Amino acid sequence: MNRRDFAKWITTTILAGTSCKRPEITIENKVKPSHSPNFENIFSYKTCFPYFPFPLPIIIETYEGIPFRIKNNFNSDDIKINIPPFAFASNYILFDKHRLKKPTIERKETNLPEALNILLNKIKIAKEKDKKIAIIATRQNSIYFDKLCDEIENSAPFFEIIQLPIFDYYKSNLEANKEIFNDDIFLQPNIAGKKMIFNFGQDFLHNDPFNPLLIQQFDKRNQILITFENIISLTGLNSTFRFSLSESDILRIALDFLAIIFESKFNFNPTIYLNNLFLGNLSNKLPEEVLNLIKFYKNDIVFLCNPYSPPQLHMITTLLNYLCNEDLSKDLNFKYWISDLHWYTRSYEKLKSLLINPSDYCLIIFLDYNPYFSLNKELIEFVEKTDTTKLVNLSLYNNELSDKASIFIPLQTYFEFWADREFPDGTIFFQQKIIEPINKNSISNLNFLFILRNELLKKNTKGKYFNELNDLYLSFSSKFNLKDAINNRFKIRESTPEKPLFANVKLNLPKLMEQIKLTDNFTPETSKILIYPSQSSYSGEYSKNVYLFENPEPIFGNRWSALYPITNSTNDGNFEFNSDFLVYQNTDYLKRFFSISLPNLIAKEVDFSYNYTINRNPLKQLNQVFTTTKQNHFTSDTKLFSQLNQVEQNIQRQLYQNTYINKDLQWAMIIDLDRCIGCNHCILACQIENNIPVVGMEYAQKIRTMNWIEIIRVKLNNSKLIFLPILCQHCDNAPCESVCPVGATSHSADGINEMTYNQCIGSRICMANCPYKVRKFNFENPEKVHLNYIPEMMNPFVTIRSRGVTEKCTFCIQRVNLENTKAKLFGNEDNVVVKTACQEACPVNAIKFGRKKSLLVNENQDDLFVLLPEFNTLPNVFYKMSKNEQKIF
Amino acid sequence: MNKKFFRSILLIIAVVLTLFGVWGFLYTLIYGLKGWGLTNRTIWGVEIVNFVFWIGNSHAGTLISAILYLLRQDWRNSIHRIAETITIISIMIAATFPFIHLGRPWFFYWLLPLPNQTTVWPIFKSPLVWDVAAVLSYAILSFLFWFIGILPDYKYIKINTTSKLGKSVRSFFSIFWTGSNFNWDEFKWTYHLLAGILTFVVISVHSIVSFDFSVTILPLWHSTMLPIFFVIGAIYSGLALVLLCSSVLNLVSSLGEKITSEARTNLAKLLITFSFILMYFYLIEFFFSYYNLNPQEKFIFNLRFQKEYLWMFVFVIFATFLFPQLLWFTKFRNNNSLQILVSTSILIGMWFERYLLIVPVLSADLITKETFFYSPTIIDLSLTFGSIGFFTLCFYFIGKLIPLVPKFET
Amino acid sequence: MLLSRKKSLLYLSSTILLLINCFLLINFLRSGKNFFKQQEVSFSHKMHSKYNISCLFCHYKAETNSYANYPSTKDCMICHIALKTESELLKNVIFSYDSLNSLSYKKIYDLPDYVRFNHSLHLRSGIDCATCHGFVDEMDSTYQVRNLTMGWCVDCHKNPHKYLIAPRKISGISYNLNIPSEKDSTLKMNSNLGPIIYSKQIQPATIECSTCHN
Repeated sequence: MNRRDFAKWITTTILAGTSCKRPEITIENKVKPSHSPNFENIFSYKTCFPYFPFPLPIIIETYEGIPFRIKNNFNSDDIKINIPPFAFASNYILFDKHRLKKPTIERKETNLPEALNILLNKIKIAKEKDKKIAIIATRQNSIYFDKLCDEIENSAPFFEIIQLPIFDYYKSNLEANKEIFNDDIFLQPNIAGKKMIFNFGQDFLHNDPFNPLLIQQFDKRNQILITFENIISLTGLNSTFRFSLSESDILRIALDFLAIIFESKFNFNPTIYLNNLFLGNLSNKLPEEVLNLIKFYKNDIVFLCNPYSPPQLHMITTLLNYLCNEDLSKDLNFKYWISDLHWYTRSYEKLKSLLINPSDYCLIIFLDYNPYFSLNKELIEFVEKTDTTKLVNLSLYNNELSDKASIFIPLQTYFEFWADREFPDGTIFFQQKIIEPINKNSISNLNFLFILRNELLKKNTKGKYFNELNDLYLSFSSKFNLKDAINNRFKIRESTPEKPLFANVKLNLPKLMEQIKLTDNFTPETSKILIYPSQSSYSGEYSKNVYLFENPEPIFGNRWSALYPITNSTNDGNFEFNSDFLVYQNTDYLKRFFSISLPNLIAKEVDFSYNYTINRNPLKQLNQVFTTTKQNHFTSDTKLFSQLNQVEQNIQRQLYQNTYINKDLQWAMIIDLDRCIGCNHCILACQIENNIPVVGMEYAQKIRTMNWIEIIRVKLNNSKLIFLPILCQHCDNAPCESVCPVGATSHSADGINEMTYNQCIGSRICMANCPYKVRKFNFENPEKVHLNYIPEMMNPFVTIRSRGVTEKCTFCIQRVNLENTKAKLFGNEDNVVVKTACQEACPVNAIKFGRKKSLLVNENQDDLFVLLPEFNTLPNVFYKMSKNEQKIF
Repeated sequence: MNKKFFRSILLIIAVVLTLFGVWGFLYTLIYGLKGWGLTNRTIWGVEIVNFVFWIGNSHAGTLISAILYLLRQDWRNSIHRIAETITIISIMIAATFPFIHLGRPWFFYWLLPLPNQTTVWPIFKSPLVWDVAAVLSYAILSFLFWFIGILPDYKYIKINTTSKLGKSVRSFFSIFWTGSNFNWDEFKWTYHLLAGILTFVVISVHSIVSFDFSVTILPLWHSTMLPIFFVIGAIYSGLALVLLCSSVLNLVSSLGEKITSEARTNLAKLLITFSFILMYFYLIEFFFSYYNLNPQEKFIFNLRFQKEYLWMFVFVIFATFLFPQLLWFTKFRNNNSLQILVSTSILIGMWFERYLLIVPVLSADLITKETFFYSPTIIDLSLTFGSIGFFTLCFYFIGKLIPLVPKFET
Repeated sequence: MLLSRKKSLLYLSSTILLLINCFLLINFLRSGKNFFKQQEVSFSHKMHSKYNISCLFCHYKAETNSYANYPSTKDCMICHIALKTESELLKNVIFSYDSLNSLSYKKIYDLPDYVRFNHSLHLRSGIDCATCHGFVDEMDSTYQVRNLTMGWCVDCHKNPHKYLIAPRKISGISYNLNIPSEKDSTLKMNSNLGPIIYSKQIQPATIECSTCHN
């Protein structure tokens, strides 16, 4: 041992045993080329996230061949979609220790080829016995996947491949549209540019598969959103008017609208029909201002409908949308897709036959599909009844099925294999292989079908499916080249048909009404339990993602709860359901919530969405402990903001000014409160970008969460809610800097309040002196407690903080530094553009970041505020709000 | 027999408490602050309260030995060494609290202006750096004062002098004191000088401790009143501790008989005086918060009338102001057990007073006006009670070693 | 009195000295000055610099990247495929070239991983390799010349003229840099390191924490 090693040993064991370091990657025996990762080590890959039905264009950034950052791909031609939180947290799954490592057969571990052999043998036996085999697969929206399925079914008629969506939001819509259009059409209205939106319970801002499209079309500032819902949703919180109604009441309101609009359009009053069908006219329930608004915006209204609601409501919504459009001959500005929906009805027919005659089938293969998560009750019952030797499960994690199934084979994540994904409008996205499969004993679902088909057709199995995929797309276009295709998407189908959607439809209202009556099967006035999956964790494979659990649920602000009870029950706020679903006692919390945050809340029904956890059957074990960190919302009675010009006066009155800040280079952030919908995406993006520890349930209860952004809710005096994200304000007169005894926090010339982790000794006086309370303290070493501590997936540009160190928002200093370095090297120093992680993740573009000088010029100075101006800290995070709202403050 | 019984009971309790405290101390050193009741909202808790409390307790020693010495108050002679011993032990205990309170205590030396390879010096703007300087200089000076004060009594120091080692140790620590006229001369002016310096230090040290709070911009802390408020509170609790120790000594040891009753009654009188000064500050604090136009300050001040803190507030008023008024009566004033009772209540009351000053301010969110309730854990309690046990043990052993009542002056 | 004044002074000064020595010792231990490690291939920089091969010829990534690469075996074999193929010293290199086993380098200049250092930025500012690495071209085996402490980095960022060495030809810095070359700058010989620039044209660099630490 030489001197330096000795010194290192001393400093690492005794003195600096817990110094803050960059994440150490221990994959293979790679020589680390440098001690400072820089932009030249980052390689970006264009690929897509297999989100159904919208494959999302994303960019995956890798360092030393390992993905560490997932970003939106805004450069893709016309589809600009913000990716949902589980997409940018998804590289956690890649390195998750809980991922299953080996295939099991009868609970004995084997390797992949052996497991596949046994499976293929079983198929042979089935063929000899003349029995059927069912594959229940998650719908992939992949042309190659469909092709493989077709080939398998054609070559081997005893195979039945059932493709099911993860969430069954198609069913009602399809049934309704079959009545109207006599075709498999899926409809989604376009809300962009509409003045007024009537929303029958669709939580498009948070909890809906369509959020990537609708959330961007929504403009909180200029659109009037009126929500009728039987749940508490983020959309409800963000709407101008919110009515809490039962499902039946919503239907009646919808019918009421139909009547009103019919009357105004055709001088025809359908109330005769309505009165016959339902209990009466409900128009007196609507406040007069809403009715006036309807009359005012008659031709600029769009209606939305909860995809889980009964088909009747879908029918009415479609009719309402049809009627409220000014010009009937025009395209109704609907997004609708026809061709890719045939599989749906076909699959359900097959599923029916499976459920009716289970004895015909000797093998049921679940390919990435878990009925327990998708809440397919019939399938769950079926699985519980059937013999375990019949079941085969292919999934990423150990789930309920793998406990039952005799054969279990681990799957691959979307980073690890090639695939094609089709956007509903016909655009093809390619999913790249970013990293060699970490688990050598895993298989991708495409490869599985490929092997199966080759076995059945007795093809040569040596080839790879990648070549076939390439050939398939060459047949679509002769100029096709996979490399080009990744960069420039291409379309195999024309966009939506040009013929007007309603051209062939002859409306016969009385007949439709009859149909509504015929299909009417709901019972009004009885409380009903609706369960549907929470989109915050998407499918089962993302449910082990600790980031998603740590992220506060936007409505309640709670973390680490397996389910979210949504509405109050009858007996004085006590949640005691007559089923064994949920027993909920913590009433103080909910009372507080109900009394403050929701205007016009009438609670009758008991509906909730749930967050799925592995090995926790939501139908059985729902009496989870409901944990929550304290809810941040309040009624403002004091003046929170003061106008910016007042702050500027304060600056002039100041005794001294910080001369080291270069006003030309200073960074600043503007947060638009008129746009913020409180979806908490920024919190999650920040947590992933900056290696912020996920502290777990126990610490979360102790208010030791480390999130650098916190969103609090302010109820304005006009009972409107706004969401106020609070992060480090990067004050010019930062109170934390002057009190730090060791100079661990200091100001840079470009106005960023810096935090030097290795200089910090943890006296915490900076935290005490921060009036915004944005600084967080590390109570524990990351490798010991923090659930997300996987060095491979950590951002290599950000130091991991050790025990006893304070941290806070840095304005993504690693990105700022990177861009600065680039600018210095390439001589572009005047025009440095930096995007912070929160800014990238914001689906409504509420966050702006840039040089203060140029940023503030473009804004109306009267609209800008700062927080707690009386402390004269001169923050550089500005909040924007239109002047009308300020008066209410 | 009776005294011995009391003494052994006290000792057993002290040992148990010390062990309890040592456990908490080691746990904190090894596992960090995760065992404490701190949250990311309330990041200073009981330990800072203890720090302020123990630093405060050390003040009376200097007051009695230095200021009263300069003022030629002879009644101090029988208790001044007790007071100084209390000072030294208190500072020792107080200094450990900020040390383990650090997130990375092994880097505590970064607070000192030492030459290092990073060339980063402590930021002298920071009140914590002042704090270190103040407490360190106070500790050194009062140790010197105590050490030099013992010199004339060096032959009573109970070290085994039969061995050669013991002899040399004793002669080393007596700095070759021979009792000559020259020695006495030097002793007197040194003692005088140190007393003079300490008079200023005693005022400065708690003012500087208060700067930890008053230099911040938080409402209620950011106040010019804090330094003098802290000094008065410190002297008050320190006097109570001296009275407690001397009264308990009277109860458990024959040494107590040598402490004059005059000294104890005078201490009691001082307590009454200071209780009124303190009350004045309570009222001023109230006035400041309500006369102030800052709504934040009013909000934070009102927190003490909330459910969580109200009982504490009422208790503080009762224990530090109302209950000590019993000392007006001569009968009570001279009663040994009542002296113990009153001084204990003052000490507990002063502890809670510091708690009320520190915790509610930090637990409140200034934007949402929300309070996050802070509750100490068992490790916080172990450190608190351990410090009491450790104090008692140290006091006992120092009393064994040196004459607690000066022999040369009485 | 109790102690003679002289004695007390002695006590005081000795304790202070002891403390200072402790810290100096720790500082000495933590710095790696004069650190040396035997490499797998005993490569002589001195030998190669005789032929005016510039630093950037082998460590070419330093010009554009944050790090200066170690040359790969392939890079060595560009020349040595024909030159001195039978040399004893080249045995390891040729073996690695043939067997595709990579040689392992031992790092001499090893910064802690929480320090961000960019070679290309320093090169572009006209800082000669020798400023930090010493005159490697005169060394037979490389050793650490600077102690690489933070104090040294900060001092150079504050007062670059104290440390900077005029760009030399062998370093291969070819940018048009407005920095006086060896000829027209006032030069002074430093006993250890040779010529040092005294020029007001070199501006002090930033010393914010985030310059080096993220």
